Amino acid sequence: MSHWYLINRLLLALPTLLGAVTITFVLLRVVPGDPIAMMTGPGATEADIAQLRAHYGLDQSIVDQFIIYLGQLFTGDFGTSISLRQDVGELIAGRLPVTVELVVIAMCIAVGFALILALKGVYWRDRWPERLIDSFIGVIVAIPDFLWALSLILILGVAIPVMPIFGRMDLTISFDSWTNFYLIESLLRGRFEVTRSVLYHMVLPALSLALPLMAITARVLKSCLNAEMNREYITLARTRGFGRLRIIYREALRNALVPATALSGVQFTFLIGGTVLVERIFGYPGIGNMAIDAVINRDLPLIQGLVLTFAVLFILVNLFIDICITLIDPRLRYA
Amino acid sequence: MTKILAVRDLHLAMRTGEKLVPVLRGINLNLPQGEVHGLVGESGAGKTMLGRVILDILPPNAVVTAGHVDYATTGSPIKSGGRIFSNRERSGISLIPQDPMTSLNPVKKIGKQMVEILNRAHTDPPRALQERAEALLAEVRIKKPKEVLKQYPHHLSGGMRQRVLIAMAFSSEPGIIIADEPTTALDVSVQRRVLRLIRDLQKERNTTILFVTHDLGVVAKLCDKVSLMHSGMILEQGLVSEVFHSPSHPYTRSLLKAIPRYDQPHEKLTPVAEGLQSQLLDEARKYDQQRQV
Repeated sequence: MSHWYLINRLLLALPTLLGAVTITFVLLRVVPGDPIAMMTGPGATEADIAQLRAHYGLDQSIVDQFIIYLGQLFTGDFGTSISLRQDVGELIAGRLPVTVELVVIAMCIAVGFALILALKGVYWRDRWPERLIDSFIGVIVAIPDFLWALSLILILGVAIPVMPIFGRMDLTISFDSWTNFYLIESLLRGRFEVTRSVLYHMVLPALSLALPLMAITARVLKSCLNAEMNREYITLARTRGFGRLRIIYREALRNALVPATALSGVQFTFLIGGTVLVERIFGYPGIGNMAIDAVINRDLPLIQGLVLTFAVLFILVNLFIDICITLIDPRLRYA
Repeated sequence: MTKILAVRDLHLAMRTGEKLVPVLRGINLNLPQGEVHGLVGESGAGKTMLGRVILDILPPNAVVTAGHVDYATTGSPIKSGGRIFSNRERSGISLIPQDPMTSLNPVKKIGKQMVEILNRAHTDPPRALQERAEALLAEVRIKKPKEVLKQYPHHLSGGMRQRVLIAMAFSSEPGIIIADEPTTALDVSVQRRVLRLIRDLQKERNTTILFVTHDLGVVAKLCDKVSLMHSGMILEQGLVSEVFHSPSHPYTRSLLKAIPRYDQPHEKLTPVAEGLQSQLLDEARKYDQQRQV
C-alpha cells in the first residue's frame, strides 16, 4: 500500500463532498420554512425582516448564495449559525469530540461483543449454546437503537435507577476542557473522577447505539466463519491434527473478517444516524443533538455545516475500513 | 511386507433426518508398506468418504455403523465424531487434496503455513524449520523456493500450489498419504508432471499411497494394486496388471471398454450399461436388507 493510494482516495473524496454540499444546499432552500421567521417574533416589521435577510445573504438568488457559500468554504469559513449567532466551525468543533468519543466507544462495544458471540457460536456449532446465541442475536437485531435507548432508560434509569440518563457528565464536577475530548483529556490530565463520570454517563447511550450494530455484525461474522469452516483448507488443517479452537482462531477468523469489516463500514453510517436520536433522548451534547435543534430552527448554515461534517466522517471511516481490509486480505493489496 | 493400514469390514452411513443412508458397505482394505493402491469408482461410489474415515475427518452426520480401521500397530476402533488419533498418529497420515486453489489458507504466506505444519512434528528452532521448508519446496521441484516461501497462495499457479500441497503432505514424513484425485483440477500437461512427482517422492521414501481417482489411465501408470468401488462396495480388488488384463467383474470390463484408445481412434466408446448400473444398486439394496434381518 503506497501513499499514492491514500492521496488518490482522498482526491476522489472531493467530488463526493461537493455532491453532499450541493444537495443539502439546494434541498434546504427548496423545502418550505423560513429561518428569519423563526428568529423574529410576530411583532417584527417588514423592514426588520428584509434587513436580516440581507444580513444573512438570503435575499440573493440560490445560485449566487451557493457561489458565495462555496467561496467561504474554501477559506474555511462555515458561516454563522442563525439561531445560535456563533461561528458554525467553532460550534461543530466544540460538539464533534463528544459524538466521536461516544461513537468510538459504541463501536468498540459492538465489535468486541460481536466477535465473542460469533466465535462462541461457531465453536458450539449445532449444539444448544449456538441456538441460544442465534436467538439472542435475533432478538437484539429486531429492536432499533432509539427503542433500546428508551427501554434502557426505563429499566436502568427509572425502575432500578442505577445509571445516569441525562447529559455527558456530572454537572457538579467542574472540568475546563481544552479539546472537548473529555475522556482522553481527563485521562491525560489525571482527572480520573471526570473520566469515571463521563464513562458512567456514556454507558446507556453507547449501549443503545452498540446493541443493534453488535447483533448485525455478529450475525454476518458468524455466517462468514461457518462458511469458512466448510472450506478445503480447514479440512486440511484438521487432517494435520490442529484443534478446533486453533482452527477457528488462526485459520478461519482472518478470512471471515473481510466481509464483516466491509459491513461495519456501511453500518457506521447507521451509527452516525443513530446518534441523532440517541443523543437527543439522553440529552447528550453531541452533533446529533445539535442537528435536531438546527433543523427545528431552520438554521441553514448550521445544518449545512453538520451535513458536511457527517460526510467527511463517513468518507474517513470508509477509507480507514478499506485500509483495514487490505491489511487483512493480501489478495486485495495492490501490486 | 509390513502391513501399515487395514480397513476391516467398515460400514459407514450418513444421517439424514431420522434415516441412516448407507454409504460404505463392508469395505476391506489392506495396505502394506510402500504400496500405491488405486481406489477407482464413479461419483458417489464412496471413495472420498473412505479416505475421510482413514483420515478421521468425517462430517458430523456420518456414522460408522460397524468395522474399524487399524493403523500400523495401534488398533483403533472408530467412533463417529470422536477423536481417534493422537497427534503423533496424525502426523503419520496426510492428505493431498483435490483442489489446490482452495486448499491453502489465502491470508497466510506459504512459508508460514509450512512452518506451522513442520512445527507439529519437530521441535527445531524457527530458523531450522524455515530451512527445512525451503528444502521441501526444492524437492517438489519448485524453482526459487526461498521466494515462494514469502509469497501468498494467490501469487502461485494451480500447478505450483499443488506442488506446495504435496510438499506439505510429505513434510510430516507420513507412513500413508491419501491422494484424493490430486490431478483432477489441473490441466493435462501439468497433471503428468504432478503425477511423476508424486511417484518419485513415493519411491524415494517408500510411502504408502491410497490414490483416489476415477481415471483408470492414471491407475495403470502409477499404482501397484487397485480396488474398484461402486455404491459403497469394493467390486474387484487385485494387482493392476491382473485386473486390467483379465477383469473378473462385468463392471470392471465395461469400465475398461469406456477408455479411449490411441491405437483405435475411430472406435466408439461404450458407456456402462444402464442395466448394469441398476443391477449394482439392487445388489447394494439387497445387501442392506440382509444386514438388517
